[in-house]
Amino acid sequence: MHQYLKNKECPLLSEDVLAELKNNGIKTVLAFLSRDSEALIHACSLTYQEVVSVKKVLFAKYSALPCSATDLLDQPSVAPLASGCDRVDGLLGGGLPAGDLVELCGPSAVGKTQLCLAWAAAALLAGARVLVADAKCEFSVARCRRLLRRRGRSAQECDRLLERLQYAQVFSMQELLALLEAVRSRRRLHAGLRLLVVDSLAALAAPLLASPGFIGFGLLTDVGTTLKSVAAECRLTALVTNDLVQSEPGGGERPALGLAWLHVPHHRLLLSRETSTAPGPLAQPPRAGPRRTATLAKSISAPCGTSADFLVTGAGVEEAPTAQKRSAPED
Amino acid sequence: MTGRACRQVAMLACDSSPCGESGRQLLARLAPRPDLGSVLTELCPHHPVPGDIVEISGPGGSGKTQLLMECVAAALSCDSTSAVVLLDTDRHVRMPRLLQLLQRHLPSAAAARSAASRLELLTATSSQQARVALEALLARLEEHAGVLLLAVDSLSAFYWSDRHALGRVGERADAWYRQLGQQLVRLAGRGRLVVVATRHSLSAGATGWHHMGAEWAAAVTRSVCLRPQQGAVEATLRMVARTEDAAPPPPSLWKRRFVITDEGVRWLEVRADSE
Repeated sequence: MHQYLKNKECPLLSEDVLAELKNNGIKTVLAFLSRDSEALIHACSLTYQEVVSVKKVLFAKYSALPCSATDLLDQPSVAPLASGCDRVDGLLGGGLPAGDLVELCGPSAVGKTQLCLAWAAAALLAGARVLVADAKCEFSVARCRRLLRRRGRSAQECDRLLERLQYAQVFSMQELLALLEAVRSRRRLHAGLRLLVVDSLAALAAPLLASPGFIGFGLLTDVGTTLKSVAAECRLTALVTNDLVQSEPGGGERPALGLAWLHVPHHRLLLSRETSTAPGPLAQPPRAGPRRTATLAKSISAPCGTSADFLVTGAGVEEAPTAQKRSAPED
Repeated sequence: MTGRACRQVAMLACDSSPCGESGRQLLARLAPRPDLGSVLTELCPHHPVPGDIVEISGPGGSGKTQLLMECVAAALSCDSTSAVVLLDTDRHVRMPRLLQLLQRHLPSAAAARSAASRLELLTATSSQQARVALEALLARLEEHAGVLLLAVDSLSAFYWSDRHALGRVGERADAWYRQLGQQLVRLAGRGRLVVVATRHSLSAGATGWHHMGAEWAAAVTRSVCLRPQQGAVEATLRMVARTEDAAPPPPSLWKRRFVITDEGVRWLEVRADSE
């Protein structure tokens, strides 16, 4: 947060100069940079030229990264990552967009992890790498292998493809942050990484949200910032799963993790599942049906409110047939 | 000669502009600013003038960044030399989208690209980086004489992270954000810029709590609150009449509705209410 002035910032900041500045209440980089140069030469023994030089070094090191809009426009585009279900991919403009943070939000057993598996298999088939941070131990690499086999790959090819899937179990927000920082700092090691899955962010963050000192919200903000930075710098898609919670008694449902998280993702898909009541003389509780719906609730680039129905089958995620042509899915 | 006098002479001798500022810099500073023209005309009939501070607030997904990008595109298009600085903390701004909006204002793709080249994008991954970037802008205002608009997206991206980090060292986040507000007010005043900034809703309900503090809220001359409503977004604009305005104060509250299309923001109707 506060970067304190240190000798290693610049050779001109000797211990004596730092002590003089400290005596005048200037201890941090921001405090130094926000003071007028003339005020600084009165506060320490640096000359005006030396103060200007130190400021240049500090601005270069601690300022926000500048870049030209045309450089960004000239970057080669990366094709969206398609899951194989055209209707779901169509909600996001053809698939998962590179450089963005996408959130899959829904109740338990609605198909969030299955969608992650479908996109992971698609990334592996496209020759890319995948990194999975699994907090619930529900991401089945065996299921991923079956999806690859269903796409016509031999056993040996599947083994070779799975070499590009890196699986990590994370049990805390701090572990997740360390993993993300490792990806960011060792980009050469993770060259070719196209998809980063976090399943699920709610499982990691929810236990901390009630902690004192806003540690939960602070870590959640840090994770959101780092996910978006990694996605932009490595040109991959960060895909996270989240739960739904009741917003108020009798009210509707909303994504978990509170207002601190609501604005963070670039795109949010809300997943729901049809319920059906088995006919019969005895009252039966409603059962979850096979048809699921993904609705685009938030997007920076596509119209919101559109939805697509899908099924989870042995082959992965498939379009749901229209209501007149329903057939029993293979699950 | 006293020590202080020696230092002042040394400052004049070593300064890159020994007479304070060059003739070019003086003319650039005093030259009349191009009329921002269509910037925010849909939002209010009185064009923002240098020194105005516009805040766009609302819940996530209400269209704050889209509205901000409309302002950036309009500012880049109003003059062939106008420049914009965009401080991005949220990473929701997309250059292809900006190019699309520019092509709506300008006659050709080449003109749109030329306008985009006058945008300086500063991407911050922490609020310290953002504040240092603003200090760098303040320190080099004469080099940014052509900048008409400073856009900030957003003011609250790092709020919870800062509140936690500052709390650990016994400091308060409100002092940090009050200083951020002061930086922006100084830039608007000294740099003769229009500042447009987005702010997320950090608390549920209309509690009136403002994480930037009362001083910032008082400095904002145009406040736009967005609220998603029935497939569109309702924008409520509140404008503060400035004391130096010669014209009679305009109605201070407007409500407008808009939708976001592939071509950009499309306004649906206007209703002016006076308080």
